[in-house]
Amino acid sequence: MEQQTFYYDNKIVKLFAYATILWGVVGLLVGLIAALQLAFPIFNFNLSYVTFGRIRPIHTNAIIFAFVGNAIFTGAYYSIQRLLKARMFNDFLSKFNFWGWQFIIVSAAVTFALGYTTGKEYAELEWPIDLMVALVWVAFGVNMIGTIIKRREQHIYVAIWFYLASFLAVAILHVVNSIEIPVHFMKSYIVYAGVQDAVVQWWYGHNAVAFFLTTPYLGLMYYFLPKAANRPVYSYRLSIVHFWALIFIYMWAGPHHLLYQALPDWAQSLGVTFSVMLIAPSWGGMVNGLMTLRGAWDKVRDSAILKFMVVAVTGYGMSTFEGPLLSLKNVNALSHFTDWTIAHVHIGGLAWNGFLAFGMLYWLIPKLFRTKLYSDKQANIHFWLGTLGILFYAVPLYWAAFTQTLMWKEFTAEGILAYPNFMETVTQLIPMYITRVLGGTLYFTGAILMVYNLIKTIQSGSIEENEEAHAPALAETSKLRLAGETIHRWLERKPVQFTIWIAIAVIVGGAVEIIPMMMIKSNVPTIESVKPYTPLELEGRDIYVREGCYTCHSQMVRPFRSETERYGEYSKVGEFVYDHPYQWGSRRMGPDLARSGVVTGKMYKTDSWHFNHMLDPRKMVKNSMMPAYPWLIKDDLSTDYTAKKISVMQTLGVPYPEGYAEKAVDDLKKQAETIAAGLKANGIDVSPSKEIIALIAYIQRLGVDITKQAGEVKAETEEVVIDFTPLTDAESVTAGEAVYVKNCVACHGAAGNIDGTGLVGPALFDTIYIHGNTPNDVFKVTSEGVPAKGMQAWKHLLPKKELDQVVSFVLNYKK
Amino acid sequence: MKLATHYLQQIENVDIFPIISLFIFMTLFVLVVIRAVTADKKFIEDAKKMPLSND
Ligand code: HEC
Ligand code: HEC
Repeated sequence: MEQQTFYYDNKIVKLFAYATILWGVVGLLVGLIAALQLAFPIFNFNLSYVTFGRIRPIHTNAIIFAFVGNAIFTGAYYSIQRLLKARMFNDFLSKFNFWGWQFIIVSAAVTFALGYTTGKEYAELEWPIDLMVALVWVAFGVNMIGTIIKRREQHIYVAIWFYLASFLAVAILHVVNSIEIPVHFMKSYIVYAGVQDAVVQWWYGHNAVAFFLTTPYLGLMYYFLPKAANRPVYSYRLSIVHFWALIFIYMWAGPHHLLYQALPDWAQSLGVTFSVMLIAPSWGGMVNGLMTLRGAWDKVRDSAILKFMVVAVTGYGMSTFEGPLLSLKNVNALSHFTDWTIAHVHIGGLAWNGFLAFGMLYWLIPKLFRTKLYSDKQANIHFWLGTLGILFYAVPLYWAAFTQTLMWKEFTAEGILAYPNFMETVTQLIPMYITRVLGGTLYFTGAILMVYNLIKTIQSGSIEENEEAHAPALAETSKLRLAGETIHRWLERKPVQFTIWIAIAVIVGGAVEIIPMMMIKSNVPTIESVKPYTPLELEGRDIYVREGCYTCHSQMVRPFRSETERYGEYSKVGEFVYDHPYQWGSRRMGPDLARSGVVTGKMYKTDSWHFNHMLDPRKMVKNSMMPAYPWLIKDDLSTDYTAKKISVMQTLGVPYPEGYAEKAVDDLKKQAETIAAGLKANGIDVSPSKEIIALIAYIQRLGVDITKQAGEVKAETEEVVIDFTPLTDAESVTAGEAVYVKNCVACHGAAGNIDGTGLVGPALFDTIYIHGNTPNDVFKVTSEGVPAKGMQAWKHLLPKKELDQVVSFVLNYKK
Repeated sequence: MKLATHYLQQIENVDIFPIISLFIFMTLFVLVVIRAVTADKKFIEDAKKMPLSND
């Protein structure tokens, strides 16, 4: 057969490799900042662009799409050409893929910092950038499929199946999860609401992990691990089963992110079943990877590259074991909303994605530059720094997760929450967060060492940008099945057909999960009292999304006693029907806010409390690591798009009255004035045009509708029995003082204070009480609270003993 | 979308969906395993060596 000469495009591989290194460093650094912010809130710098709520999406997107994304392209562009014995289909598409992707990354970083976000985790990009992503991604796919068509190799190696499946699945996920209606150039509303949005989002989120962080990487594993070890993969048969089973099952498992949340039972069960089934193909893949090195462990000892890869594959095995574990309902009840999830993704991220990328780069760069790695020793040091980094990152976080979840759920013998003050459960974690910063620093230092090592390597070699290669052309074969040919090989000979089958396998799972959810009304029972947001609340909600409050706050009370005791009524499916996007959150760094506006509830705070809290959280709550948001008090709320927002909402089916858009701004102003007047009465002078007013309006709306019918009636019929005798012994009074200092100072001033001006609550150490002067009166108001005015019902928050002590302290204080 | 919604709302017993899907999956899985096990030995050996060929 005639030999053909062609040229591999090494330049594109080089560019992607450089981008991988650059974004890897940037992504890790931003992650380090985020970790610092949680340990020391001062690192929020009181600057809107870099508060935690904006930094976190920058970090997650930088790691996933910039670092891992470029690593995927690096490996794919290198291996596709070699495995198919052909140059990439089209040089322009290659370049477009590269520059387009970098452009997206930069726009993402800039827009997130400016607060443009859709508020959906890992899909935060606004619509114009979403369109760019689609375009660039399709360019990659066309380039790959084009190369497959003009290949000089009969068989398509399993790595390429993984790339193909990844391409198709990500394309589908991205499109389905980004259907949004623009309000203006940088703002849109997602078409799904509430539960539907949550399901679509986690179908996406889960499968982004599957088809962006896993399957393309398995392609890399199946190519670069045999390469680096110089021996073929352990079992090719296993890899075939691994492939089909994995791509088919992954799609179905999404609902495991929403267990015990407002989601129909059948969807939850489906998610759990398929999640557990996922262990089988995942471990098949891990075994296949590790067994490739059987009988060659001596090589592993000597080679940093293989060490990186072994830990990577082991990390893959660990996270794919832990993932199904976390989707069991009883485990999830403990793990969800804690650092467990964060630890879990970092085993995957730091070990599997990070280490495989490092291993690949250490192998690839010397190969491309036709030289040897500058320093094997440094690569080994990098390996140990990275491994220690992972340990110092993960172990404290698991510890933090257990600590916090147990504290959340602990009840005293009297049956009240043992840690009613949410902050107590966070303060405990700070030492762990500091250790995590250490882990991150170690890992980061290793990466910097790699950058140095690779630069030195690059300097010592030279690259052949177009590398000559030879291979015979592929013989023309009949389109029909040849005698004796198996179906799979016949399919595989016809790449387009093969692609379509992969697409079907991927789509079936997604369709089964999503379609019934989206389409069937009975899945989302409507609740009569749930009404659309007022224009001011809607604007406030958009501020909530913009500031990324969802990165720390959930709005989803699960049906556990520990949660209903702490927050109030558990969340119902029908509450969220007007929420575009949903804001349930995934991690409770701060308390759940779903019931914040319920005046008779446990979470209620006054407008002025919120005002002071947003200005400086630490003034109101000791040790809080919530960032301060002073700019919300300084900046005017823009109402330019309020009318447009209302009409977009109407398009999405939110029942505002006909023609309401025109009246929206007037209503907004009226409501803002009422709130500002209320604040003024409490001594806070703020113009009604400020952003903070809208945010307060939104917070005070949360949970209000659902409690409208039931709440009021109950409060009146409940007879309050007072059981209180003032304690006079010194010990109790001192204990009471401690309770007072911890819980009451923020609103009532220091012990002994008799001047109420500037305080949230009245002075307690003067002689006259608004609610009556007898000990029983004082006890009653402390115990039952005055929720409407911002005085909590402390019987829910303090054990009876402490309640007695603090009231006794107040009464006993020398007037 | 509206049109599709209308017709899909008529479906009763959504729960049949997951059962069907589990069935589809099992069938596919068995087929793939059979195929992998019975695959031609020479083909498997060739495919295995692909990443190792010179470049
Ligand atoms: C870094 C994580 C973090 C971010 C980001 C964050 N918070 Fe908080 N938030 C907390 C923590 C921790 C607490 C509990 C301590 C406290 O009250 O300050 C809290 C408390 C609150 C409370 C009081 C809850 C209660 O009733 O006890 C409200 C309201 C609140 N946050 C609103 C917001 C809003 C609105 C945003 C976005 C503008 C936001 N938070 C962003 C961590 C965060
Ligand atoms: C979030 C702010 C806040 C905190 C914290 C708070 N209070 Fe209050 N408290 C108030 C407000 C506001 C009022 C006024 C209610 C009214 O005007 O009816 C009040 C009223 C009272 C009264 C009645 C005063 C009167 O003149 O009748 C007592 C007693 C009291 N609080 C005790 C306490 C104790 C004890 C604690 C700590 C365990 C505490 N409060 C913590 C906001 C707070």
